[in-house]
Amino acid sequence: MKTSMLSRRDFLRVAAGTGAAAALVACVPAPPAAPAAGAEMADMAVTEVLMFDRNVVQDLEYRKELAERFNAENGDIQVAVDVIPQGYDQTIMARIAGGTAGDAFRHASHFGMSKFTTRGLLQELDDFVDLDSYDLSVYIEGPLSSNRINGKLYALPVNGHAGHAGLYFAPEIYAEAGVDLPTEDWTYDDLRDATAKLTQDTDGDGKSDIWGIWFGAWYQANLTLISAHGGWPLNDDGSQATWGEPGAIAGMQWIQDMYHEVEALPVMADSAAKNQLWSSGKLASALSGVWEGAYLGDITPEGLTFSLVPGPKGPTGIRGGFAGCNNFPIWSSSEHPYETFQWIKYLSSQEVGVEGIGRIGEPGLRYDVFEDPRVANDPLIIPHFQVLQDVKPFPTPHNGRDSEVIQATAPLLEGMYLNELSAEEGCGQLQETIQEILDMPPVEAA
Amino acid sequence: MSSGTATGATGRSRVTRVEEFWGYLLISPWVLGFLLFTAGPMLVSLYFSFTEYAFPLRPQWLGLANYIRAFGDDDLFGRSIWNTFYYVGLAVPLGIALSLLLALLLDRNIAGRSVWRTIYYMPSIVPVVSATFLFLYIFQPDYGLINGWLWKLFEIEGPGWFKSRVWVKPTFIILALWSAGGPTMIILLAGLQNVPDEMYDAAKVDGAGRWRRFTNVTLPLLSPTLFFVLITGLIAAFKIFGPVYVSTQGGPFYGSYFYVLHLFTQAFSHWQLGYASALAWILFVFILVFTLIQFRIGGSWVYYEGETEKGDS
Repeated sequence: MKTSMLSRRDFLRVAAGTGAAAALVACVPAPPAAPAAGAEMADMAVTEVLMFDRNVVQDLEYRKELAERFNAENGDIQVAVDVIPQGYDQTIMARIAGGTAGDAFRHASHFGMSKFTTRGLLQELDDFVDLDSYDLSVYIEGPLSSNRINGKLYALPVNGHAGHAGLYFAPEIYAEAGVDLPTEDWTYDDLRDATAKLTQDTDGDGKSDIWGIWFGAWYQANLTLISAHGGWPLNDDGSQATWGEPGAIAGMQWIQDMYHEVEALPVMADSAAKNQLWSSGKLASALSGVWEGAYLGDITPEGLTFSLVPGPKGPTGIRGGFAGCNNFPIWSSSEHPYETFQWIKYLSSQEVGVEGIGRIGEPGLRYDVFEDPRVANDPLIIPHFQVLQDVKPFPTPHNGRDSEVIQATAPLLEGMYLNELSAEEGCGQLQETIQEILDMPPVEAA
Repeated sequence: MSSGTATGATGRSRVTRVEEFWGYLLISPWVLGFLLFTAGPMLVSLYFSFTEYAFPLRPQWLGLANYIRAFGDDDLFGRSIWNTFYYVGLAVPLGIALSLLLALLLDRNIAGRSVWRTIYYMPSIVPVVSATFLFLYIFQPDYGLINGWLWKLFEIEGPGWFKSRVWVKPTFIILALWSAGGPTMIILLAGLQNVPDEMYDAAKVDGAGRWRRFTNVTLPLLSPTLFFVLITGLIAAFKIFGPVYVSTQGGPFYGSYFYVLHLFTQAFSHWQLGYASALAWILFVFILVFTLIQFRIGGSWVYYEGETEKGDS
């Protein structure tokens, strides 16, 4: 009896073929769901908008609540907010490649916008602004500009901050050390002198156990200090590095001195270290952002309180900072960009901007938010507004190489933090390294 | 051959064919999974490695440019290779030595042996992220536990650990050693228990002391196990990523910028998947070559029981 044989080779061929076919099938986007039978004509006119958010519980709950309110007010546009549980950046890119990224997504101007815009992934909004005669002058200029890349608007400022632009302090620790409390007229020299006195060895073991100040040891945090000293990493159009200019060097020198001469804070102390020190009453002040207010309220130990003034002024008379702006850009692949724009306008409205302070700890970035009576006297918000009006947009490389710039900057900053490079050497190397990246061709859609 | 028998012209019986069919059917989920999720992506990444692939834009053929860039025009490639070799060169032998020491101790007939084994195994079941954060606190240079003790007990100014370009790699090695009582120790312990007592007895009769018994009996008979943990340890160490990603991100000042972090950064920060694929294939070849070298060298020191030298028979 003749029987067919299944050889190993045949089996592997079949398996490979099946695998390839399954892969192809998996790569084909699922067809859109057919409308339910008997759907009313009115239902057919409803546009569904899908937006992805990060897995930050309080933000997500608030955003979903806003979507419900928006949906109730706008019968023809129905917004769904979905979450990416983890690996946000990687997942959102995979989704855009797979055509399942929805219409809009949560982002932030200081996470780099140009890597998306130069790849042609974001919807330009200028036409929609014109179409709706939407008044952009309600927004504070720095945050609004943070959403422009090469002159084109890609998002609206939803909420945000002025960088690490507020000086939080524990008055009791200042009083104990006999140091005058900070005022909004303080300069960086005043801060340096005060923190030198505040840093103390209280148990006599030869090591400091109360620290005068904390500030972040990373690029975004240092922008406040650099800009207060008259420096900035890039020129206005993002084509030239400006690390070699005196202001940037002076800013980095101030940081280095605080670490190694004044020794007013642990070298390269991160946010976790700051929280640990603050919650144990061993930190007198922190140069940080608007988000810190709600957090410090939770971790300030018994017997201590905290207050806030705007960050000190540098030698140039400016306080320094950058416009950090949470936003929800619309994908260029969205089938409903205009309807999505209506939702984004809602997220950027005055009411949501005011409400956001209590719900997610950051205000909307409009003048009328800070003029609102519910906000105008808030001692934890208004000092940031004083800075926000003067700050620049986050520095954006013209060629879309945001992450290359940030990644190349960090190690050289660390070299300066550790005193392995002088401020001049470090800034010189940054100038050279960053300029090389800016001279690279743009990452562009063909 | 009679047509009435179940044996066909190829010499296989019907029963054998049926068994083959079911065998293939049962392994097919794994084979399909392997083709779809391992072999397929590997082959695709090989193609991507010859392209400029600024994800999610279409890849464009570049030829060997990514490989030339890695070896000729990428400073971080060289730094990451050096850091990785430093780590592999110290973490693997020290880890095996410590695991062997623990296995030898826990192989002894001591009171509460099972409890000790459990205690030493426990660090390895702590998730790497938690362990890393724990180490960040313990080794914090200004107010961490270690430097605090060094200062209070000996008035020694401790190093910067994770905050020092020089010390960051040794700190990651210490972190790796922390879990030396994990699977490697268990494998070595199993290997030790396979060493026949008669061999030790015979060595004792011949007058061998503890050290001679260890070097002339234990080590040779344990050599296949040591070879196994060496190979797997090398492969794992070359791929160090998790602890670095959650703690130093390659810093300070490139001190812990390991190879897989470089690969990850190119792929998922810069979205240069073509170059990242080339880096992945270079790592694959590195590991392959190292493994082959170990196999070649292994012939001279690994002893398999029952193996005879040429001409012995």
